[in-house]
Amino acid sequence: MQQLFDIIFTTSFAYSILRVSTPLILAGMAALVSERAGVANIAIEGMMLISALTGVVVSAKTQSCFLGVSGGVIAGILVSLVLAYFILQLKANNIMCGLAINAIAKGGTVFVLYLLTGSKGASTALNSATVPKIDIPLIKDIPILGEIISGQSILTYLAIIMVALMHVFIFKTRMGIRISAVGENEKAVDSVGISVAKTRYIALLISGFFSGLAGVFLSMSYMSGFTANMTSGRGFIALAANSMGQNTPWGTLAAALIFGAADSAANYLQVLAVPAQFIQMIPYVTTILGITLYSIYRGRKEKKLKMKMLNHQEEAQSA
Amino acid sequence: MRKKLMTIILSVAMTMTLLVGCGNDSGNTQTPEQKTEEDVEAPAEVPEETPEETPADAEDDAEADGETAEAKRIALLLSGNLGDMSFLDSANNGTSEIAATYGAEVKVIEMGSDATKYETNVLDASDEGYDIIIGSGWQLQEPFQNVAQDYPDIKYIIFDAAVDYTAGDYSNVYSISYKSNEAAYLAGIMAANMSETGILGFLGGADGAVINDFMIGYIEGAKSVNPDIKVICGYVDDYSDSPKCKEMALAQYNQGADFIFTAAGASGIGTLEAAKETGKYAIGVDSDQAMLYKDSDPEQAELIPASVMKNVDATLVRAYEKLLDGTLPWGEEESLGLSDGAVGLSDNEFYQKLVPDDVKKQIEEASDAIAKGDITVKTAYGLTTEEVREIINSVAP
Repeated sequence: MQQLFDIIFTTSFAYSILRVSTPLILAGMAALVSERAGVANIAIEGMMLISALTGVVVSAKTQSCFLGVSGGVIAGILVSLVLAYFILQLKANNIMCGLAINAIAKGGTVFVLYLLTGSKGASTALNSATVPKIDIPLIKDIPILGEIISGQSILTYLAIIMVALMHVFIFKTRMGIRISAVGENEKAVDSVGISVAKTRYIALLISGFFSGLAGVFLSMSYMSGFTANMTSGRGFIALAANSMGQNTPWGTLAAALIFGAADSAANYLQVLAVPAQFIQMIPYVTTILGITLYSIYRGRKEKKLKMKMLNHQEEAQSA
Repeated sequence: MRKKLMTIILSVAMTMTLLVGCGNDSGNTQTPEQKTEEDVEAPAEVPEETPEETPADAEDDAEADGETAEAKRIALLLSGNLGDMSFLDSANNGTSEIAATYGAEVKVIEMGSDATKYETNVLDASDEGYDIIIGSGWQLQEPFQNVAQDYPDIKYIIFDAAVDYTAGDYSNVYSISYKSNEAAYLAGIMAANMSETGILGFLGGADGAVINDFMIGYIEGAKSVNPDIKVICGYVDDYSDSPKCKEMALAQYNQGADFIFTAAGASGIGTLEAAKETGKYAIGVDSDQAMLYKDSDPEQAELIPASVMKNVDATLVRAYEKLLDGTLPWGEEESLGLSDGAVGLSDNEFYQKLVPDDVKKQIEEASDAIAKGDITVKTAYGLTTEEVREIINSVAP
């Protein structure tokens, strides 16, 4: 037990939680904005993969980290544009389209990687750029906190800033509220003269932007290169994080951090003499626990609400 | 109408990705005539050239050819795609060498990752009348077991796995397995000698005998140098999640490990990157992984003093030579190790530069002792889960 605490209460462990969570936070935002618009976007995984490869290739060709990140993000947006065209213009089923994009991304990235490097596994032959890590002045001098929060990748900070921006965007701007409205009742939105398709287009493009950032983070910051199928289901975990976070930016951030912490704990606890299978279970058990606790909480809340309404009715009747 | 069009476009797109996935495979099968024509022509040229240069060799060749009547037709079935810079590429090198030196006709079939196609491919190859069918890894064990008995005239070779000889009459199947534990033992000696903290790390792709064989050899080798050595063992549980592997490797380095040996396929790139980030050492697997970075990132290559290699190419050439001699033990599993050159530690400029001379000497001595049989390295094959756990716990920090 002592050993367990020695591992958990280290700054390097806490530091790693933020790093592990970053792709989930970014992809979670991608899930959030499309979910809000009423389109379940399961293509995030594929978009991330395509962006991850594009970022590496562009940065290797231009030797510029900024152009690499931009290239990856643009690739994400372009793929989401294709997805949006199929779903909104051609009225295809969004799950089918998502599956198709994921399948294309999985095979296509390896194919392109092979054409460019002759390897089907990793882009080690390309000398690609990485996103720098930065120390935040002042905070970095605070003892424990500085070690945890400072020195992360720029994209990690960007991810957290994005969460705040998304909160403002979704709840405070006209466009954000329209996106939510489209998701809740498209006919009502249509009836007041707002274009449902246009609103969804915008939501999906934003989703592509975040998927692109998440992918680029994997290949240009987390790792310094692309490896085949490196997303390994993170795009889907992000969907789970978003639904656990009740479709709200801060909620999704919290859920992503919980997933990240569980994952990180699994990585750090390998040192304990506990069967590996048990440790590998931690992230999944956390997920199930999280969802169960949330359902119980919501169930109680609904019950309270019902009781309240009943009381109101009774009052109205007696009056 | 639009929906229908959409469905068609989508199904075409999905089929396309499938085609991309098995690229060369489908390309080859579509034009069998063309392929065979080229291949038949190629060996015909070989005997013409050789008499001028080396008459003695030509005689040997002629004798060998005389015995086998004509050039063999070989099909190499790969449970994946070429370009993995490791296991499958090595097998391809082996058959290419066989084709070049012995004039055999070789067809490589990349079967991709869809395991449901493997047995069909084995059947197809058997029907097409190849003399020898070579298959890679445990994924082909069952297809071989199901097919081989129906084609007693065809010879089957499976490497890095073995068919279950007790399950039937497999007198036409030869299995090659590798004593990865012996090469890993040498890596353990190197790591334990060079470690300053006395803590090493091991990351496996999955908790199974093939991976644990590396781990147990590594632990034994390290213990032979320093009985108090600590080894942190972990499993990535994924052969393609390099970010997760990097995270686990960083965790091990943070906990004091200064050497990590990773046997986890493409995930292993993660360990190599973690090594670069922390300035500590990593040991590669299957192929000489320092060479991946030699040109693009020499700084990274400097942190990979050695890789534990499976020389699939050498064992395939060896098998073919024995087959020509008539000494290949059909119907048996052969376990090849250091003495056969089937496994080993990579020796390159980085090994020469990074590993101190006395350690190199120690590794050589151990290598000789293993080859002679003076040292027997423990293997994970046949061990129960509890026994493996016991070994892990005995070195846990």
